[in-house]
Amino acid sequence: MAQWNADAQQEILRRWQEEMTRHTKRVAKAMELGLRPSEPQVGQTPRDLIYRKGKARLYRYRPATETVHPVPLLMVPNLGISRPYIFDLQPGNSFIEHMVKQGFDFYLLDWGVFGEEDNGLTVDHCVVAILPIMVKKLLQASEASAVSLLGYCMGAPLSASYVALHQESPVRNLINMAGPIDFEQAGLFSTLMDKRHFDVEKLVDTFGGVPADFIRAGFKLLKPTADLSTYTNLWWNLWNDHYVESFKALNTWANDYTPIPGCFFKQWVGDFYQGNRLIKGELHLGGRRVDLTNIHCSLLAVGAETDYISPPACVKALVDVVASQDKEYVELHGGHISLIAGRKASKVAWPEVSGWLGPRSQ
Amino acid sequence: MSTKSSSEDLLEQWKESMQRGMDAWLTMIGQTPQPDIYKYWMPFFSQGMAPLSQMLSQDASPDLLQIWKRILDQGIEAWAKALEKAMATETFASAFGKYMDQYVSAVGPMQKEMKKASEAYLRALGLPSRTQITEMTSQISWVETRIEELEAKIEQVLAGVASLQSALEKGGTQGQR
Repeated sequence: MAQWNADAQQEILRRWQEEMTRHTKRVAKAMELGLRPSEPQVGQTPRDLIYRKGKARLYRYRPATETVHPVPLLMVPNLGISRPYIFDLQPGNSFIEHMVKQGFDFYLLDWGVFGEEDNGLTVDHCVVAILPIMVKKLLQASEASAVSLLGYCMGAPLSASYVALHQESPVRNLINMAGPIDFEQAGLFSTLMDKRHFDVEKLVDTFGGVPADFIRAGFKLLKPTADLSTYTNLWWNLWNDHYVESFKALNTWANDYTPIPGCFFKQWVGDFYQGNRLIKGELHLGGRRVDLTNIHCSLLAVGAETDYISPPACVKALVDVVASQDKEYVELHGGHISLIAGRKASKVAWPEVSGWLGPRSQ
Repeated sequence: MSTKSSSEDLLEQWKESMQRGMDAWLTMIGQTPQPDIYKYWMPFFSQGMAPLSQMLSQDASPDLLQIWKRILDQGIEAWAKALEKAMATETFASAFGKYMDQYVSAVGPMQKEMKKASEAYLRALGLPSRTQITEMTSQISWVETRIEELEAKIEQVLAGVASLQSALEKGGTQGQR
């Protein structure tokens, strides 16, 4: 009994020492972060600029495999709000790097960072002018005859609208990752942007566009405990160099908000959130009606269980409305961002996407 | 072993107290006029800290730090859920809308005046104003669009010429045969 007590005491002492060492490292790392802050290196996967139109850029990522799948992939992210380097955060924590290593000929559409001069940009222009030219340039560069589209967040309804309007376009596969389609089920945003409470016209008429600070305030308001949780976890893991490096990259992105052009925002809120016109088949872009039943290509929709920006039901709606025979909905653990960045994403979400798309890209 | 189970009991107590706090908070959200929020959440936090200090006095094991972190995470998560529920209510959406409206009404005219003043200042210095730069970039963008349209038309014409040429070549070959 006496021996057991002595062993137990030794064990407790050892663990306290371990905890103290961690704590010392925490303090040292906190001082380093405070006194010598360094910019994290993001977006390091090699790429080439293929085409530019206005602020929009089309990038092609250099292949990492001897052969690539014959059908290239175009990723269409959200417009404004945040920067697309979240998809290529850091080596080992990059969706793009993962897809390139899986043999995809990967293209990224970067909508750009908008200024006052872009306040006239509309959803129409993005869907009937920018997306078609980007697809065309991609097909020229890749010499492929078909393409897959992957829309993330706001990029998904834009991609779906493009596919529905351009039936002549050789889109073989469409992926909706955390993209809202049925806006009546879009949770908090739907409630807050309800036309009875939210006057989008007044906001845009006053500011011209939606300033980045405004967007930051909106997201902080929607998840007021996010910063508390982030910094508590940071403190807890400060002893871990790998965690701190990932944190720095993700935190840089999470605070790097970008403006949304005024006309685009007015249309986005009015037609999509307040009118829910996309799913109802009442949305008109470029003078033509967007009918989602015109989508016949293979479709994968990926929702995240705790996504408060695009709750699962509003993502899944696309699967229910399209005419595709080959369609699938997958719901994964986590939230909006954990589909695209972080350890869980690399273990679950990315292999899910590449595993579905690989055989359909031959 | 008994210490661990007593820690778990305390954790359960903490969760229960947390739930009570959340319920009180959610009930309060639906009420008008809004009562003093601090009156509610300060006792809730004090209530939450009590089991932690009790645990610390009973057990000096480093496991306590893990338990503390779990408590903290659960607390934050519970708050996040409670706030999310509160924000999803019509009351909050309406209050948010009113706040936004007031903010835009207050900031809008102020911003316009500031813009006017800074433009006058820049003009006096002989420097281009933001409006002028914006106009210029819009013009550049328009020229870019026109060039792209012309490029697309030239591509179309070239494609037409190429198909015509191949048709003529085919016709020539067939004629020779």
